[in-house]
Amino acid sequence: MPSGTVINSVEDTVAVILKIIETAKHDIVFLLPPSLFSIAGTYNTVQRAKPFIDKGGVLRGITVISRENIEEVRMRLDIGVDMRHSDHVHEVFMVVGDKQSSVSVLNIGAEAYTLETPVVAYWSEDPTYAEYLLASFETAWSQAVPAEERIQVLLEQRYQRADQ
Amino acid sequence: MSSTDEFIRRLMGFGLTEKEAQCYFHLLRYGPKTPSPLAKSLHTYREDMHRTLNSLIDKGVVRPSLGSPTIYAAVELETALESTLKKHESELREMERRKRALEELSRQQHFRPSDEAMTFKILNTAKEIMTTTLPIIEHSKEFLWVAPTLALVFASTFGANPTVQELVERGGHSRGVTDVVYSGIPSVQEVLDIGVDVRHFDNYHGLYYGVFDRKHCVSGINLDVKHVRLDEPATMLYTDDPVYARYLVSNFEMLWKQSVPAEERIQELLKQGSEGR
Repeated sequence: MPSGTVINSVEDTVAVILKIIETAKHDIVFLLPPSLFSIAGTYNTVQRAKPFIDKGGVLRGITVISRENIEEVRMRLDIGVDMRHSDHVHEVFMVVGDKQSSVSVLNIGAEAYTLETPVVAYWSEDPTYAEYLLASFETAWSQAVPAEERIQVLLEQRYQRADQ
Repeated sequence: MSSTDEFIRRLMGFGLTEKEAQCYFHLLRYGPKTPSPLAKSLHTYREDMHRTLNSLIDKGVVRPSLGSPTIYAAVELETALESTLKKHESELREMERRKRALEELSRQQHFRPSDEAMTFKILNTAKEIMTTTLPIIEHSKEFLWVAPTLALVFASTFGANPTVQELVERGGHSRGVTDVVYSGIPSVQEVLDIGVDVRHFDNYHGLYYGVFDRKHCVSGINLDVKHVRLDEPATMLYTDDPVYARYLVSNFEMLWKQSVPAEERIQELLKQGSEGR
């Protein structure tokens, strides 16, 4: 059975995310904190995900949606990513492709990730490990709020503030 | 969507964050400014504005003046886009290089002799977790763990502590990170008393894992254990993959550095407790 690989930087973690997006054929899920979601976005993940979705792939993702990243979320929604909002504390952040390839990072309290944040991630091609991550993802997904609903709430709050 | 929103959205397509795009757009439309009025116009605070401006300078789309106070001006749109594009292209080339290097590394990792085959196995109950881990502790020299106090209650109730004590007595060592709360002091004290080095982590997020001799590992996500009993459902992953162990150990060491000795935390809680009475 193939072993995994330890990844020691945020940039290398993003490189693995790009590889997962480019090689997956059927489904990709991600659960990322907003800072990592944003960093991944600057490396053309949206453009690279589009052909995957156009060919019938399903991409689902969870992050914390706030006023700061509405536009970033909308860019994903526009290409067909199914996104949800969750502000629960998650123990592991992950990207999993085709129920096999995965990269995961333990949440050890980093407030926000930058390219310089010390990180130790695990890249694996093991389906049992992917299954273990997916069980956690599905729990988070079932408790998360659809992105459109969350964006609507945030926009209403913005209008209410403007009225005051 | 207004033309301003559309413009900002397009700028984000060029690799600026939303904040950076708004700031650049503002400087472009209203001309050079110092950080304070800029922060006020963009409804943010000054330190945040400085971060955004520094990032925009790095991306070559904003220029600071040389005099004091520093005034920030937007670089002409065409030049700025060209500069962003070049930086982005160079980052992408770097990322492609990293991706290829990682692919190569991954290929090398996959060539292992068959007798080193790794196991990944899902454990479904507290009983399965205990029956898998206890025999491993019996033959281990090192046991590192991260778990909430409830796991220490399990260890105490189901006889794991004497096994860990034997590990310590035969010259091995065990270190653990947990969240020391007032009600959990007796369980933490019991583990300290058998010779385990325990620390308290303030930003604990409910992680559960144990690593034995940097090879065997058990780890669990979203464990929702409500009762201290052996048939309690609890899904954990077992593996004997040393690479996975290295991943967990590296994270353990980062947590360890950020945490404080449990004794210190216990004294603090006891002091707060007695002051509260």
